[in-house]
Amino acid sequence: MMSLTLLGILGLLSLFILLALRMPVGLSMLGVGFIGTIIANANKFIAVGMAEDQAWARGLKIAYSNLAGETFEAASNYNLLVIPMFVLMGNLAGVSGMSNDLFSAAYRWMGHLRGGLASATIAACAGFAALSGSSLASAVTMGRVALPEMKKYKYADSLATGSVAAGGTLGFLIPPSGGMIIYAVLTEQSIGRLFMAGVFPGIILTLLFIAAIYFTVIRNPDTGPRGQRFGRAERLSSLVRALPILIVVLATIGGMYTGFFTPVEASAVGAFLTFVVALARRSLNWSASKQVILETMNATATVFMIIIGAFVFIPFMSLTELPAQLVTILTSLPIGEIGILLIVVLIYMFLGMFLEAMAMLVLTIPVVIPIAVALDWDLIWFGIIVVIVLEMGMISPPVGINVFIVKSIAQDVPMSTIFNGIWPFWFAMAAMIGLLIVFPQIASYLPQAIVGG
Amino acid sequence: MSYEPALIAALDRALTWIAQLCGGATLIFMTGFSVWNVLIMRKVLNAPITGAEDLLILSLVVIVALSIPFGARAGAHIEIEALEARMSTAFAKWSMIVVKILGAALLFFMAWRLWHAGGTASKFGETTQQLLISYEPFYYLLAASVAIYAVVILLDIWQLLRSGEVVKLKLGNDPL
Repeated sequence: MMSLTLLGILGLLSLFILLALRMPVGLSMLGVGFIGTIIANANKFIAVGMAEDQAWARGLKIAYSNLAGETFEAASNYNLLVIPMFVLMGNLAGVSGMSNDLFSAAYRWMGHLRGGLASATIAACAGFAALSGSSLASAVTMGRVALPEMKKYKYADSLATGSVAAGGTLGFLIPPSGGMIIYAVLTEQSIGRLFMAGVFPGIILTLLFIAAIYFTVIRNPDTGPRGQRFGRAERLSSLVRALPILIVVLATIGGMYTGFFTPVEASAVGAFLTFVVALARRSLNWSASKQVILETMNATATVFMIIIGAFVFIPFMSLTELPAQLVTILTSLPIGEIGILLIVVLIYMFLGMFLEAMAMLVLTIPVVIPIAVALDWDLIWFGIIVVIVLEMGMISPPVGINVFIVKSIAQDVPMSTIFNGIWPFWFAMAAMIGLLIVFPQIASYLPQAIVGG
Repeated sequence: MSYEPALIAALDRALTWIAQLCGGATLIFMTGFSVWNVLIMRKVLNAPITGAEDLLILSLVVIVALSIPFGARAGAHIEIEALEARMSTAFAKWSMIVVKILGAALLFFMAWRLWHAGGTASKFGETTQQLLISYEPFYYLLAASVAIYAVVILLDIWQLLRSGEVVKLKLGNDPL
């Protein structure tokens, strides 16, 4: 008979081996979770004196039931309706030309400043993030609009590509965020509260990114020359053109914060309003419609296969009691809560160098959340910290996904140049985490003020 | 240069067509029905549609079932490729084949269990909460979806053995 802790360690080891051999994340979790559930349950039954053959049969039966039951549970989870709906909203926003209007407005207001185009990119990314929950979509959409402009004004490649890669990560933090939805579902937290908690950190991180650009151009003015200065009339008209975006954001996210809609309702209303805007702009032709549907289906597949895997894997991890053991070990260390939090953050930063953000989120939750619960951390506040550390992974070498996305748009810029350009933004994110640790109210104020509790 | 066998091209056409038609219809239903129920029936007329949540949940199962095999061809299912560059070509190919065999076996097994659960869904009273619609056909739909995903993986193995690479379905010119 094997100890449950050892089984948990072997389970994690098998998982990492399968992942290293490129088995899809969802399938790896599903496989390890299924086999692990059989062994863990059989061991438990044997431990209470059941005959071995009976114990294995019972273990198998439970695992069978879990495999089908948890899969259906994930696919029929009402809260997860927000995923296809917000993805649809983001894809519709992408084809509707809203991204161009956002960048255009930000450009007209900020473009004449040193580094202003890069700052405008960050501001436009933040605006687009309020329409799309995907960092990749934000990076691609804004990259296509902003990179040619920055090239035109002879911006340093490192600053131009770095600002797009980093700005794209805001899609993961500013609501509606795909990462927050998954975190909320797996940790049984309110999606609405998490979205509210992401607002101030999202705004502050946007400002920190702009500050990072400012310091970069102060140190080396050639990296971000001034762009064209526009008159008041042009500035105001650019704001008018960007107005539909504001209306969609206010109606959906605002409707959710005021309690007028639930998150699921807000996602459907957001998708509908974005559809109306796209129709009104005549940008939704047959080809664009097909593209929107296929990309929505594709992203839905990505998220749900991972969630199904997590739904099977997480109960196995709980059975092994490994997370509980880890909590005991960590809380016995003489480093205090902040020390433990820093260890968790450092582990996330390390894993972020190799793992995709969503995969890392579902893989770490079964182990990390018991630690947060044992230390009585606010899981909403902790969720925001986790989301920001995951964002850091998206631009960290060697496999920062946003960097690869930017590279696919700016093919003439070497990867090393793009990675050089992301460091100011990486440190801005680290500063944001520091601020959240020192002032947790940045995340917790809004949900407490609006919803209470 | 990569070349796509006729069988895979036919599968791609079928999956794309189903995703566009059925997926598109389901997305339109989910959006339209939800907005109608919330904005008109509930907020304006104060008469929410009975069982609206049930229908949306079932739509979600449909969209998930339709998206999984399509996503499998389009490369939606995330793999960690960080170590691939450090592998020899032969190891990368054969380890991928072994992993894909394991994955296909797991998925066929999962499809069987979902099909079995569908068969017992009515017996155990597995229905939606308000309209009492049986989950049975939806279990079957998920089982079929997972089985097609397994077939896609088998075709990946076939591609790997033929040409040493897996050509995925491309979604337009988007780098995503």
